[in-house]
Amino acid sequence: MSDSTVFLVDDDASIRDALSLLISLKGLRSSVFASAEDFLAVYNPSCRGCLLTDLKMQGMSGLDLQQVLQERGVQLPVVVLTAHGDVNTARAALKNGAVDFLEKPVNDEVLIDVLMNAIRIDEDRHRTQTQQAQTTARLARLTTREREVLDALADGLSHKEIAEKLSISARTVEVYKARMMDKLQCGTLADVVRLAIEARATAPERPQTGPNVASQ
Amino acid sequence: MAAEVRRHGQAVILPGVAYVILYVALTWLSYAQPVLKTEITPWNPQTGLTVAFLLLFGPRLWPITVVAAFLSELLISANVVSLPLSAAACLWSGIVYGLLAAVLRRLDLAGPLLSAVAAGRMAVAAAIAASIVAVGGVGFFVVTGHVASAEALRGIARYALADLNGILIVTPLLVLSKHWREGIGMLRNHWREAVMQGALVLATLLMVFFLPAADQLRFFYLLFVPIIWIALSWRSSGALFAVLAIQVGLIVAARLGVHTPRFLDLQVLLLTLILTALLLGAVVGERAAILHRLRERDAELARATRFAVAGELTSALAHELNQPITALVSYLRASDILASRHANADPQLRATLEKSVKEVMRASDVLRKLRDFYRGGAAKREEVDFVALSTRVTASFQENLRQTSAVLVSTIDSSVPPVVGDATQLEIVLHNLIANAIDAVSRAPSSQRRIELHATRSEDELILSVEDSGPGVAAEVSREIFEPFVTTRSGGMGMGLAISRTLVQARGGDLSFGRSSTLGGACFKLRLPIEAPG
Repeated sequence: MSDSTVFLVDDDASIRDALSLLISLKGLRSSVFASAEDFLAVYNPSCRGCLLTDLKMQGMSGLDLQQVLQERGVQLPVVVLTAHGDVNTARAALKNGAVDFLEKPVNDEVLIDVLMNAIRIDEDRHRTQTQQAQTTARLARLTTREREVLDALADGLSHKEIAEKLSISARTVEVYKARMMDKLQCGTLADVVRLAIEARATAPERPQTGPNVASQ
Repeated sequence: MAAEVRRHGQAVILPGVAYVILYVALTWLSYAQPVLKTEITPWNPQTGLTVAFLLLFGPRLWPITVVAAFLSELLISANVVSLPLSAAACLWSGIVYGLLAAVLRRLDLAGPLLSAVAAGRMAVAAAIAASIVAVGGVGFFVVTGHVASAEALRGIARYALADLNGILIVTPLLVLSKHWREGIGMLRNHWREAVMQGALVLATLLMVFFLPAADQLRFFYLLFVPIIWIALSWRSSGALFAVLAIQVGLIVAARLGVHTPRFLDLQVLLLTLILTALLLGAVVGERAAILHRLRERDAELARATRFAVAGELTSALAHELNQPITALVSYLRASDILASRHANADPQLRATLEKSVKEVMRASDVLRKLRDFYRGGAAKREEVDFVALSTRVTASFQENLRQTSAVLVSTIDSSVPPVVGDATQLEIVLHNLIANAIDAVSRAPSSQRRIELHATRSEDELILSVEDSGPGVAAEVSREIFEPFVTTRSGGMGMGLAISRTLVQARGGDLSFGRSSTLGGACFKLRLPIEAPG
């Protein structure tokens, strides 16, 4: 949480000032922008935290900003600020993937609660992404043969069956398995199988969720 | 069926008896008192009573009218030549007037006569019925030789005119008996005018009857003056009442021994007076009703527009004020947190800050309520005939278009169905779009002032476009053209488009603008779901 920031976008200077003061007094870091364009110019994929944006602004609106972020594959959780009674826009924002919305004037306790939740979502997402990246990196070190042995183990085959399938001796399977476990830094067979299944589950999504793709 | 007849029967016993008594009394007044030398009056008020009775209580009661006629024949007529013949004549007139009442009811002429056409129809129907009755009534006596055939035609004419005059004066007055109370109320409010009109009738009558007998008919036309005046201010009922008064005047004059004009001439003159009263009164009434409707619609439009303007203003105000309120609440909460960090801060400080937050929230609530009040909307859900609505709106701009020498061409697809919505709100939107278009084209050379309105159906939406040959929307306002207080007119409030879009969006549609490809000016496009959402 220490490196999480609340990115606040609002075209009203007083609201920027007041909300950022309140947020900082509640122990969160904040960074303010007068327009959606300003925020987009500064944002980079290593930014952690959440976005708190007004909906009705001069120039790019909050909904527009949400759309642009979505198009760029940015997964930063978005919380929108609405004028009161503006149910339709709030609904549109949620449909667009906002994690929550707040009505102006905001209750500070609700505000902090919502922001903390958004930050938690970001952290969870970030953690899984890091793990996935590590798994991918480790798996990438395996040779084709080692990978084949891993897949076969994950499918529940015995050493003998693997040896038959790959047309190699059972002794060689043992060697590949030892090298593979060494490279994946796994102590037990169970760890290796879990990793293999995890890799399979995330494999189809990898192109979208890999952190290197989030860049512009 | 039997029960129904009995119930029906009980409901008409009292009016039926009253009718018979009144009928006999009227006949006695007309016949037993030989007010004119010919022994019959120029009109038969009892016939008017008969038709009114049948209109009010149902044509099926015609047998009662036969009884009433025969009874008065027995009791009053001095020289009954033949009882069976009289009975036949009474039966004949009862049947014919029963049919007349049925026809008038079918033609929707049984109530107030609301238009000149209605009054004319009623007069024609009554004339036909009175002629048939007269031909039959006199015919029986001619056939049996009681009346000379040479006298037949004159007799038929007198008979028919007397009945017709009676029907045309008395029936409309009696049919409107429910409205007598209102009439008396109006009379009380305008009694000076009524007194002057009464005096004029009296003066005219005196003038007509105290002239030498030979000149009387020449000045009878003077009676049209008060009748026209009364018809203009009191419509048919007042004018018919005046004719009734003239009739009474005639009777009084006759009783006083004043010479009155020849009988048939008098009848025709009276008929002319009656028709004038009836038709002129109906025209005046029709005109007043149309004016009233127009004024009501204008008032409703103005009311709805005011409401929409107030809503838009409130909404803009609420939004603008909500920004500083949001900042204020946040500053106050921040101050509270800061105060909590100082152990030696005045204990009242935090309480005061808390109260301040509450007050600011209250202000915000007031704004919210105000905004919800106008937004909640008095929007009605009714079926709106869009074709008729746009015809009405464009018609209201005719004068405006003529003054700016602009041409408005409206093409509406026959596929455009009725839409569900609030007619007045849709009218405001269309009104605003056309008013803007006229304003836009007035800035173009007068030879190129053209506006095109096009409505069509696209699946389940109504698409309406208003295009003009004006200069188009200026770039500096195009971004915020639908915001309140944005206008290019020097005297404009900048509310029209803001209101229009709010109204259309509240109804689930959308209003957008672009450049007209055919005319080169602005093109406003309205999309409206045919079924209202929610």
